[in-house]
Amino acid sequence: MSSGAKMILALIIVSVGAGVVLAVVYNYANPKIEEHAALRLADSIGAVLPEASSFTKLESADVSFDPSSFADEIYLGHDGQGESVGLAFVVTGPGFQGGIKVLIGMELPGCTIGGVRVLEHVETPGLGARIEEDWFTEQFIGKEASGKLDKEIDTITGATISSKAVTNIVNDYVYKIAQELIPQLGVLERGSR
Amino acid sequence: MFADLVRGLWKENPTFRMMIGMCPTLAVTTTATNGLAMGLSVAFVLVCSSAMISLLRRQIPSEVRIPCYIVIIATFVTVADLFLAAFLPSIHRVLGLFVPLIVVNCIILGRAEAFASKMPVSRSILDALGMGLGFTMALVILGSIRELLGFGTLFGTRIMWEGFTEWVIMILPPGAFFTLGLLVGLINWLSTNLSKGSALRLRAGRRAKDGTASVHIHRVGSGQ
Repeated sequence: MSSGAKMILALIIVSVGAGVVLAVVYNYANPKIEEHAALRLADSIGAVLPEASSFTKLESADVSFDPSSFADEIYLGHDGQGESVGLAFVVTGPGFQGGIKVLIGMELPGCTIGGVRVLEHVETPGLGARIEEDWFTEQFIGKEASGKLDKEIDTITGATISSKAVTNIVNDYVYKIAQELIPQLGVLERGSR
Repeated sequence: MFADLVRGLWKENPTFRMMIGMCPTLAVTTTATNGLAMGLSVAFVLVCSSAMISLLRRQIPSEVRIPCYIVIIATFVTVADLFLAAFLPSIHRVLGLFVPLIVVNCIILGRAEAFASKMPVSRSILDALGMGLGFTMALVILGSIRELLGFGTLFGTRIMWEGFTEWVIMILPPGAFFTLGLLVGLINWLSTNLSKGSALRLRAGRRAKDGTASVHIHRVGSGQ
């Protein structure tokens, strides 16, 4: 066998072997990874929308508008009787060093905030990363979609920019969704009944 | 045989002596737990890929050995990444991007090229295990110091007294450089003095060599 053919053969065998190994491991690990992700999501939505006992994802096929124009993901929370009790939505906004991903729960029909949870961020550990702390995010609970939240939320000492970033993200999206999405959703629900 | 195992722990410790694989060393050692998880992930990849490369060392033509090594290493890194995501999701979230980056950690390619591609499987595994444990040890030491001073905790348990002011700088990148620099300095000083002492005893009467000559820093590659 020429050395060229040998090289090609060696690369093919190594690559195919790697592919087989990865396929097997992926098939084994992926259900567990998805299970963790689903558990984490359910846990987070339960935290920001305490009244909801189940939730469904709002798909663009279900409604006349594009949900992705409002938020990354939108979930409808239902109580035991299947009535809508609120919305939970995942939004991303600019932080100090990168994007901050926040899950916001909004209770219906009053459009008050049920809870806020920071899902992902790359803020400075020990300073900006404190936006994850409960005392900070608990300040949002019960606040109305006034568009003026920045005057009602205390910032974290040493993390003014990061905490203001979270406040602005919550403020902007809650206001926008209360003003623009909820009216459309109300029409849809009355129409379907 | 035993020498293969212990070499990575002290004499050729990848972090403190050879100064390779610095990027994850500096980036993820904000806590001892993160350092331990990163170190063990690297050790896992190192042992598996060294064993595989040593096994295939006669079959792989030398012209294409680097792409073959990279494919093998990337496979084991992906396996480690998937296992971490499946079984330790909270640690996986913290380590984030640094797990896939193990592929380009030059400890692994360095050992493949310098050792596993020339040695039998058993010695390659021992060498990889020593190097992996040496790396883990270094990361845990760094992570412990930074966590203790930066958060006042160790492996998540409160150690420092009430009212201790956390040194936030220890969690930030400068803290990593300061700690690593001081540790490398301390270890160089220790090994210089230790080898000077033994050299004096061994060659009594002869003039002791300059101690620094015994400190070999092998540069296999730079940076990451």
